[in-house]
Amino acid sequence: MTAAEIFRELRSTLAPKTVLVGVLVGFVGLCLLGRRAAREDLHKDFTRFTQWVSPETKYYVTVNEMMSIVRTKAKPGQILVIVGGNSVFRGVGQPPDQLWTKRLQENLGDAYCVVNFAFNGSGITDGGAVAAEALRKEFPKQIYMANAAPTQWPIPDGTITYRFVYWDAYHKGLLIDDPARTATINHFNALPPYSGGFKELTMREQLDRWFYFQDYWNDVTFAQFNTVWGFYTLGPTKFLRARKTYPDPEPDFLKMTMATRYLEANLEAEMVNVRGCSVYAYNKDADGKWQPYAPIWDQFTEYIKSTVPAELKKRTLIVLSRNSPYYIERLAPDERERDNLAYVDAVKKWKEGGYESIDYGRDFLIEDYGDRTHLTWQGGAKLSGIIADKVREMSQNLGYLPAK
Amino acid sequence: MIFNTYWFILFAAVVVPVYWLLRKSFLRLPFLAVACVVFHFHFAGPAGMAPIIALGVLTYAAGLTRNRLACAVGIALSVLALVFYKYIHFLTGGVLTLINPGWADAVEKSAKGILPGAPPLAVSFFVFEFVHYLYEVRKGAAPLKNPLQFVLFSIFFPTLVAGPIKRFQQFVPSLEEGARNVGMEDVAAGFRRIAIGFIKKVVIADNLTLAIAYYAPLTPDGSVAQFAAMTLTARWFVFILIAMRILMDFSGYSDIAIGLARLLGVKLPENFNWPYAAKSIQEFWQRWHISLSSWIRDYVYIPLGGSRHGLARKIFNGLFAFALCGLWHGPAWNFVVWGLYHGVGLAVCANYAAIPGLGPRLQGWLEKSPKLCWVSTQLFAWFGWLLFFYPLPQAIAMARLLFNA
Repeated sequence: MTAAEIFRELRSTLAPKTVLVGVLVGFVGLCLLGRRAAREDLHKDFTRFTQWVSPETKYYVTVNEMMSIVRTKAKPGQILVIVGGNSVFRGVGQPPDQLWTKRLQENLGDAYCVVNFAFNGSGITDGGAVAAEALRKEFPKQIYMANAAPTQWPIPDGTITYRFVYWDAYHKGLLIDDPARTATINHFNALPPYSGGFKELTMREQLDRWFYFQDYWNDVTFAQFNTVWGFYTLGPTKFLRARKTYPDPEPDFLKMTMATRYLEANLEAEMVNVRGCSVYAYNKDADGKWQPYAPIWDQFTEYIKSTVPAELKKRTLIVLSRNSPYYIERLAPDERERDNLAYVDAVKKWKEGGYESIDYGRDFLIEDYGDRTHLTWQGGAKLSGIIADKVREMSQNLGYLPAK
Repeated sequence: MIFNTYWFILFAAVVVPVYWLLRKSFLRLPFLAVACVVFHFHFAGPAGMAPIIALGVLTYAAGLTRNRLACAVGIALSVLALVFYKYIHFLTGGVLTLINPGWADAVEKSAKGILPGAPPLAVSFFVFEFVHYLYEVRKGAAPLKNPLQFVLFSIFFPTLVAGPIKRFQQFVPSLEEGARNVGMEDVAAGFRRIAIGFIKKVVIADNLTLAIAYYAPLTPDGSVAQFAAMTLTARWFVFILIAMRILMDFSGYSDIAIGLARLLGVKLPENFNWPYAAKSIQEFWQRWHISLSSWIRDYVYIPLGGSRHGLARKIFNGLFAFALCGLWHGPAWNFVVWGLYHGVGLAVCANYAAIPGLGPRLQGWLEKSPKLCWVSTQLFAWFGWLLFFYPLPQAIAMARLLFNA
């Protein structure tokens, strides 16, 4: 029987009413399955989001999914520590068993539950920040942290790639109604490139509120079979495999040579990136001293006012991650001074804005870094010590721990 | 693709049920016209709508006069509008520069202030339908007097973006019939067709697009080195992916359009009929993008004289029609080359039997070997896709690599 004959047969045997009822029942059934998937934790033994569970491979994690992970991992009474930020905090170059957030969990002990929700290329307000805010009532003892570069503008609904998480939570009514944040979001979303695709995005999330199609698709592609080819999927013969079967592909920086980690060919480009952390934020005065360039810092100060709602600021830790000394040592002395100033001033500004903030990396060694920004698991262990101390201090100040 | 935007899904989810609920055709058609205007406005914007409105009014008015000259002027203006919006850069940069760079520069400069950033949405489809309308009226067909019918023929939302290219003599009666009698059978057939279209487009074609990007037969710097580095089997695999992708993408889109129209009770012309089952080039073009190939036949090839003035003229007419067919797909030389490639293929296919001695023997041999006819036809069409998607030198290099281990 040819395909054409099969279609003809189907057309003649399927009565119109049967088709219509089938369409309706199928649609409602899929919505119910999505609703069920939204309540289940797909990611048993969660360590971090891999490339297979990220927009890099067209997998769009829902806020329900993240909330379910936390509900599975966190025990009642624990202080929830959600880690957001970019690939540095996701632990690129650190194998899963040596991941810095595992060390952080060990450092902090059972009173805390550390969950790593960082994504490659994401910002302060992406993914993890949204999940933490959505869980604020269920887990009132919580600390959210993210890494950032100095003067990196924090857009309240997230970077373009990841803002779907904010709007997912927003349309499900999980976020605090904060007029100041809304005003900043409206400001950004009226401008290109933020305005591009924004209407489609919010429409999708509004529909998903009722139909749960994203949760359903994530359930299917993660647990049963993948439906979308991607650059990181496992080749033509394996791309249909469920994503849960894919390995965490992170290489171990410490198994790579220094020449591979610090490619000579990339040196110039990386130096541009290093200088970019401070070059636009300072000018020299008549005495040759670095002075903050007011328009940049004023804008930065204005934006951080509404990055998160006021009631969440005190539990938010902004971690300024410095570049590898391999590059810092190649800066001219005055450039090095400017670079250091940028980190010190950014920490100060965040604190003045009502947040907690620290920086790290000034006393780290070249070996602690896998490349310009990412840490080896040894560097990650150092970082976890610094962060653990800060988290304990914050927990004390926030009243999560009994007074000493 | 417009059909898988959330805006469109919401739009269809409102428009189609309301259309069903209205029940009376005198209510359904104005409602549908308003919906089509909303659809066109949303995706084309005011700048994209304005030229189409102007051309539409002109076409409608010229048709009403039934005056042969007015219709000819209308056809000329439609074609000029298409050339202006879609081909001006190609004509200046690719053609006029070769003749006189100064003229090309002057034309580019004067067009710059008037041309929008991108051509109006689906301008080629509009122009082809307007030309068809005026040509038929000029030949004596009764024009559409009811402006509502003309508006719906012009901007019927299921076909607005990528066809099928409609013929008003079939479309309008079907539209009226649909508005009167859309029933359960239509709705079920529409849903079935839409489901098939979405599977072809979203599940198959979109994944094939990602797979082709993954293999990157042509890297952004224009090199085929990555293709050359593949094994011979992998190269043929990518070659097959390219051919399957365009079929699934375009025929999937047509299926959705035909299915959407059917939900409204309107039967649109078919655009694809298993083209990869064709056993000759003529048959391929009777099965591939049928609404375009029949338009080219009726409004370019036959008016040029078709096969009526001897073999040389017939071949020239075919080549010219197919060069235009290629150019219709986009303002670039590779499309012209692709069109000419098919024109030559058709000319050979239609005339080889007339070669004294060899021709009849070859014909007899091919008639006994339908599988060989199928393989050679498909290889010809699929090699054509290399010309369609890639610049000529790279397409030739890739074709050669398919035979070099």
